[in-house]
Amino acid sequence: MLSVKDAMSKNLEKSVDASNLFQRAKLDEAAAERAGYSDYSYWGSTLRVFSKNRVAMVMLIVLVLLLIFTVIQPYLPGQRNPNTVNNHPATGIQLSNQSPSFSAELLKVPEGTELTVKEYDDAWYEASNVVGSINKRTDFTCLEYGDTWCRVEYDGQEGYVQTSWLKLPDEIPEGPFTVKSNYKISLYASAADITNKGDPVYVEKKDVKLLDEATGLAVTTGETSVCSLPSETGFWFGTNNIGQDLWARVWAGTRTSLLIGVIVAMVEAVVGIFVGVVWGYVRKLDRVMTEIYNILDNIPSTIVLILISYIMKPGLSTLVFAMCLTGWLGMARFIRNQIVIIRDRDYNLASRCLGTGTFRIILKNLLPYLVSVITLRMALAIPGAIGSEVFVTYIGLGLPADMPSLGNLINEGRKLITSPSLRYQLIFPAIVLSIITIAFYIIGNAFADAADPKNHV
Amino acid sequence: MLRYILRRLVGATITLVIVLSIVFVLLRQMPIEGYFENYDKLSPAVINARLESLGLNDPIAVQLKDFFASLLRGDLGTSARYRVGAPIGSIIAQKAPVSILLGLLSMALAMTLGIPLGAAMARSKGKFWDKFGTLFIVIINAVPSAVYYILIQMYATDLLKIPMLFERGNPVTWILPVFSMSLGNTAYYAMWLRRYMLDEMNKDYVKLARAKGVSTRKITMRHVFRNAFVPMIQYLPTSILYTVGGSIYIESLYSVPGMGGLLVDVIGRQDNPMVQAIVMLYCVIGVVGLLLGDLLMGVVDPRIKFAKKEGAR
Amino acid sequence: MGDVILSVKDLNLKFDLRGRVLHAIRGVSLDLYKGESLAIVGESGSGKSVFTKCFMGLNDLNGHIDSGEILYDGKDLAKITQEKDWLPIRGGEIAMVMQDPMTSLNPLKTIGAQIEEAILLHQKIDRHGAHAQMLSVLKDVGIDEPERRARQYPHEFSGGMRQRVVIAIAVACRPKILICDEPTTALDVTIQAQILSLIKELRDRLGLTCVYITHDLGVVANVADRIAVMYAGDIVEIGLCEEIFYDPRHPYTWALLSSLPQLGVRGQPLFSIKGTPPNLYTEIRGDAFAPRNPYALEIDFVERPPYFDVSPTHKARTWLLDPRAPKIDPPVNIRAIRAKGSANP
Repeated sequence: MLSVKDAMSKNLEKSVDASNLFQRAKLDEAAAERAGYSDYSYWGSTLRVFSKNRVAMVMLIVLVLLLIFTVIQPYLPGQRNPNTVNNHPATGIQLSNQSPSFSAELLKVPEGTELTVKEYDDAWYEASNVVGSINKRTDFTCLEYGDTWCRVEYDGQEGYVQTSWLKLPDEIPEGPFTVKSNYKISLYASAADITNKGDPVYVEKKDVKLLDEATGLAVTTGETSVCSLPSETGFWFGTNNIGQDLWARVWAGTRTSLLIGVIVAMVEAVVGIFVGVVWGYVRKLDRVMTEIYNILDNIPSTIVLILISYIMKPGLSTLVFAMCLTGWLGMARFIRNQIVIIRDRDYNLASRCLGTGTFRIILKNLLPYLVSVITLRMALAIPGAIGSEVFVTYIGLGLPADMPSLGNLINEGRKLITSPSLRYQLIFPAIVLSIITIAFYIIGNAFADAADPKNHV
Repeated sequence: MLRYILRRLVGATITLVIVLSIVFVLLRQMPIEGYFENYDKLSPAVINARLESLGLNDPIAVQLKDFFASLLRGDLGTSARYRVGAPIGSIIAQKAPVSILLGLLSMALAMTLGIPLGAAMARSKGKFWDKFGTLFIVIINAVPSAVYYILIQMYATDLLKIPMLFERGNPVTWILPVFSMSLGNTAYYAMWLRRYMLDEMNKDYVKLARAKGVSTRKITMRHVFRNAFVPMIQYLPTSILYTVGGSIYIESLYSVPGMGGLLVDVIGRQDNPMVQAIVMLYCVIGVVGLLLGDLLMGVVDPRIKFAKKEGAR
Repeated sequence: MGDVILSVKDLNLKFDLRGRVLHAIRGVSLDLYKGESLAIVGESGSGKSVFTKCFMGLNDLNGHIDSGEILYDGKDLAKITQEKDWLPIRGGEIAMVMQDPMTSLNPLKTIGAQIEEAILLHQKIDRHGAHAQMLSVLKDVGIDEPERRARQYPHEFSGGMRQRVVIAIAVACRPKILICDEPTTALDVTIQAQILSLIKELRDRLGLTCVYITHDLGVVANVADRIAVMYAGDIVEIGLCEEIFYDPRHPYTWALLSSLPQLGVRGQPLFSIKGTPPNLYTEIRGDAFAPRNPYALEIDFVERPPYFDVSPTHKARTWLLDPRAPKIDPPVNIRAIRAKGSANP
């Protein structure tokens, strides 16, 4: 009638033969309990749900790496000081508004390019391929015509000049002809302006062979990088208008902004939780505190921010103070609402009936329930504080410029948006700031979702 | 209903008086330079005379009384640095219309974009619109508004080939300020509407409606959407404050001759009386917004008329 | 017995929950007869609600019918995938009364509007006619001053009154089958009887077939012609009311009845079923109740029992009814009620 044998053969732990099947089985109470057993653990499930959220995991990794990097960045080799004004080593002029580049390399020149070099340091020559200059309105001979470069002879010296500077006849004759220029122009050793309009450039000593010590004439021994600085690394994020390294400033700014964010989040949490718990748990205070809250809540938080920053001396502590002044209110209200909801749940009533003290009930019964929501608020307070800092800086009440923060970097960058070539000064801090704020936001929300037991099925 | 309105009105007035007093007292802590056009060049006697005439040497309680007295007369004082000697009331009257118009336009735009977005997100949970909307909400909520305001100004003006600055007579230049200002509220409406609609969808009355044979589409339109809208109304005040906060940025970014830009301007010039007047005006907007939210709630939700509303939201 | 109005054959329903599969209904078969009143009893999570929701396509989207048929009026309801095919059935053919009247009504619509909505959906009738019909339905469910009450909102009604409104919505379109999902659980004891007799009266008057879902055996005894006992997504025993109460055969039914405080013996501790219901995420082998069953046979852990007929109307899924099984005496209090049953049949 039934494939009892089949079923049996699959049954490994209960090896009973067919004749015994209709015997009474013993009731195993442990097994009875186990029938509906689920291996549930709160934090285990929280972690499991969180780790299933791929976006949040990626953001977490990005954020952790970014935080680690932000902290160790000043100790890495080859980093510049965020407040040092970088001057050109030769001319002493500020290296202002340098475009971002990974290396200081300007261009590569082929083997056999003639350069005039000067000693700079152990590894580098200061180089130029300018072999001479031709005064304005001077006649000289064009040996070979080209659209961008002409090979010319002047004062017994052969070299190249840029065609655009020349005053050419209407028709270009075959063979050598005489030309002149209205400007003072440079005569180059090769058909390339490697010196960037005459600014000194740098080549590594190992790449060139010195031909003549006296004149400094040298020739490249292979493909050679010509650099704007006697260093391989350039300004990765460029420089600002007074020649400060934006890379260093962005990371210093990130440190400042994160510091503000973390302090504000901590203060908000501590004050907010304390006030919220008292407010929610002590019934006599509820009425008074709710009225006070209603009044304070009516003042727009941006206005408080402005007001405090305006009244007090600008600086880090003022900013933090102003932000904390508004932030804790929301936190306290939130905690109070949660506590009012949980306070009268039966398990707390049961605790009270057993004679548990108020403080212990708060600590053991109420706060753990709130851990996830508190973490969420804190995670969101950090991007919030960073945003407020940007706002306050924007209206001119922020940190002084020698204390770089993402807010004042963005504010400095904002002033340059009319010239497209300088927009990188806004874009870089904006990108770093966006990554941080989005990461905190997503991680905070994902964690709150994961910590909600409703999502643990 | 009338009693409900009256109670709210009285509550709002009391709140307003307290808030204004706090702001007033706080602003008295400012350095007194902010009351003078050229403080450095004045002799102590002149300074003292002016302080006396402004009543700044009186005890704080007297100052407060005078302040409310002149406020009732509609006198907001005179500008100290921004436009020396000009009555602040008339400066604000001149600047306010643009701001109000911009704010209303942006809130209208936010509603026309945010509400359909939120409804679409709730209806297609986990699908395209939900994901798109979530991405939008995350970006708008997480990234400080200054950053995307600036980016929009920077790239959109290039892209659309429109002037970077606001001109009152040129409608094209209204587009970006209104659009930027609406973004925060759009995300806000969409986020809350989605959440409340999903909440409502899980309620028993929706199950009953389903069991009645009402189609999902009709349930969404007739039951869920309308019911989700009621708690949305409590966000009206917040969204007014959002708009006000946004206008401070936007107006100065686009050089809009409005209140927000004016505030940034007078802060830069440390014109104390002007700062005071504008800050207080914003507080009034905040309180009035809250009041409006409460009253609207009473209109929409039949339960309100009976239930005694708890003090705070 | 009358004609079969709805017939369920070997129904399997599974839920997908975050990558895990919950097997909520495990091969249930059931015939529902026209005009009868069937009570489905079982503890929470046994699948009573989910089972009946299948008749109306009301389960959540992550639940899908894996196999089986639900035959109604010549159609197989298990095959319906489009919402529009469900709409005429919901409310029109099969209606439902939910557990909690406090939350089952839309708080922002007048109750009149909520009843009219159902009427307008299922009957070709204009607004005026719908209004008149709504008023008569309200009177039918025992609400005085229907004109005035129809204009009120749900929060102006008491719990019992709201349940009357919910019932009015359910019967407004003259459905054939009425599913009452724990209709009295959320109500005061004093109101419970009123609501039950209202449903009974409407059933007689309108010729409804009723399905009660409940875990309250007191309710069952009052209203049911037949009883189906559900455990872990399966009907383990089904029979006429007297058969189940006075001659139960499945050890789970014994345990369930023994848990009634009324059946306790004074001075003895109250009976309770040991252990917990099985976790339906894991595949169940053999009899689902076996691990908690003090009368379990070895075979219960190996092979799922088939139905054994006790009488033409009474069958149970337990190996104890197999001729090969040893004779086992039911617990003492079950024997007591059995004796009582045979004393006054």
